[in-house]
Amino acid sequence: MLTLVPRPLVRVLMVGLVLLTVQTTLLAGLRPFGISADIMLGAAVCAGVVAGAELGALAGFLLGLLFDLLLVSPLGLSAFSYGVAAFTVGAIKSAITVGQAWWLTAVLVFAGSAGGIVLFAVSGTLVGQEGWVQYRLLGQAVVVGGVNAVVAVPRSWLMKWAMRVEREA
Amino acid sequence: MSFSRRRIIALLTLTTILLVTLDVRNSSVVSGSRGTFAAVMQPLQRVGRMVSRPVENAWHGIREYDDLKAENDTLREQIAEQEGDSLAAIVAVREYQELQKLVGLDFPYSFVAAQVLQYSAQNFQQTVEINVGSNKGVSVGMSVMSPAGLVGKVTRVYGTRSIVMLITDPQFAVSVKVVGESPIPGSTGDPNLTTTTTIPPVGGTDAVTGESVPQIDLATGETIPGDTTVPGDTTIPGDTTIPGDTTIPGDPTQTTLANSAGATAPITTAPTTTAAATTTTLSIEDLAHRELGGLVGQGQGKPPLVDLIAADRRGLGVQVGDVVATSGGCQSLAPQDLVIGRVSDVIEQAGSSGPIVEVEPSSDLDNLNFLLVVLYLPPSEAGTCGE
Repeated sequence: MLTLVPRPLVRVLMVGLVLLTVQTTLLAGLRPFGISADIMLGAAVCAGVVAGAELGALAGFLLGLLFDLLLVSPLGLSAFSYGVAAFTVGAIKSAITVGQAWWLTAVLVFAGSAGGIVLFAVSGTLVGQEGWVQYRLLGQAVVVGGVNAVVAVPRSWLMKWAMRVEREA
Repeated sequence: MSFSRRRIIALLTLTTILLVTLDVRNSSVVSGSRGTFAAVMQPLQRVGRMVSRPVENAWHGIREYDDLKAENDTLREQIAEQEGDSLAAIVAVREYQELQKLVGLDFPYSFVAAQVLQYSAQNFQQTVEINVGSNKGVSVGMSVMSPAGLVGKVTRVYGTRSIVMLITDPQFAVSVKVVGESPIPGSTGDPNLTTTTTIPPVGGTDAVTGESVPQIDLATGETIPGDTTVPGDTTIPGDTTIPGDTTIPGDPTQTTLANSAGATAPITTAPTTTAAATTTTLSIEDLAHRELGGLVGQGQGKPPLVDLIAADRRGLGVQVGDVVATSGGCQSLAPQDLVIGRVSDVIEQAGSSGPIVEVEPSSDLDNLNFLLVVLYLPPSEAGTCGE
């Protein structure tokens, strides 16, 4: 059993379950400005930042799928949005730098999280979920992005450990 | 973009399409996976709730202290004001309960008490998770109430817990009626506006045929099972809705309708000589009006809206403060007369469209704790539609 732990997939699953527990308990009750933070999306985007577009997309898809299994929205929406957000952020980061500036990580996580929220709402609307694209969506994107940006650096360390990344993409 | 990247994007997209398709088509694989995963997460969430509760309490204590203090002061003032009204209210409730018993209008549905475990962890759904599931007979579609009124409906059921979609969720919809507390416009104060109706006997035995005749629900006009009679000299307090075609059965009697202002309107019922038919004279000036429509949620922070559908009576005096309740019916998931809230705004629309009504829910949806799941299946599902 312990031999499985070093595998990135198992680690990402373990981290995902812990984050999901926090998401569905603590963060469901703490709602700054009436908006719930989304640390699953934050972790997905951090995976894209530290592991690059391809691996980040897979990790994001997996984390989103875990979240989807507890939601009543169509299965796969979070997985898709998180995967695409992680992929995009990973691709942008690898295109502009190989550095590890904390502020760049925070900026990318903010942008990726905000974009992921918007993508989720638009995808949901495309598959028939009504009332998801409203003016309020912008506020949600900003708050979720802001919260994720604040804890971007430690979460990047966590995802780096989970994905066994020794050198950022 | 490299081949590898294109492959990743294609893989994500195709997998998503597959998953969404399976879920939309209610695949048993998807629902089974969700149920299993929910069971796996349950112990983790229990521990998580235990650990996070003090943090949550501290957060709310810091963030909402001023609001709570102001609210507390306001409530104290209201209590002082309402102490004088409480005795009158007790009398009114007693009379109401007595009348309910007399006409067989007891709340006829079983319910299961539940506690809210947590609110939705995501911003796009207005849901709460409760601690009862299929083990208590809960099934998808059942209505969920707080002591103040309807809060939502069950949208997913597991063994020991369920997900409740709140009435503010954009996916929520239920048929409702708007019950006015004021008289129909144009009829106020005109004592000549009376209607005389000759109707067949109800609630007893037909004198000619000897057959049993069913009794009719005063609020809806629907048949009530059982053999209940209304004795004479009954007073019906104000704010009671009696639709057209309604009868008060029984022996020759004098029944009085009283409105909230204390004025009374006599209803004379007298037996006729043919087939024990009854002639009822109603003064409609004291009857509250009623509108039908569909209530839909608008998302967090926005009041649900009612789009009125009763074209013939559209716009007839829906006023701020009118009560909105479920209308029930054959296809409706909710039984009738579950209070939802009050009209907070009436938005007139251009053209021939009727007004759209904003509803202030009677329940505080941000602070739900104990709820009741109404174990009610619509007649269409129970196979009794039209009976």
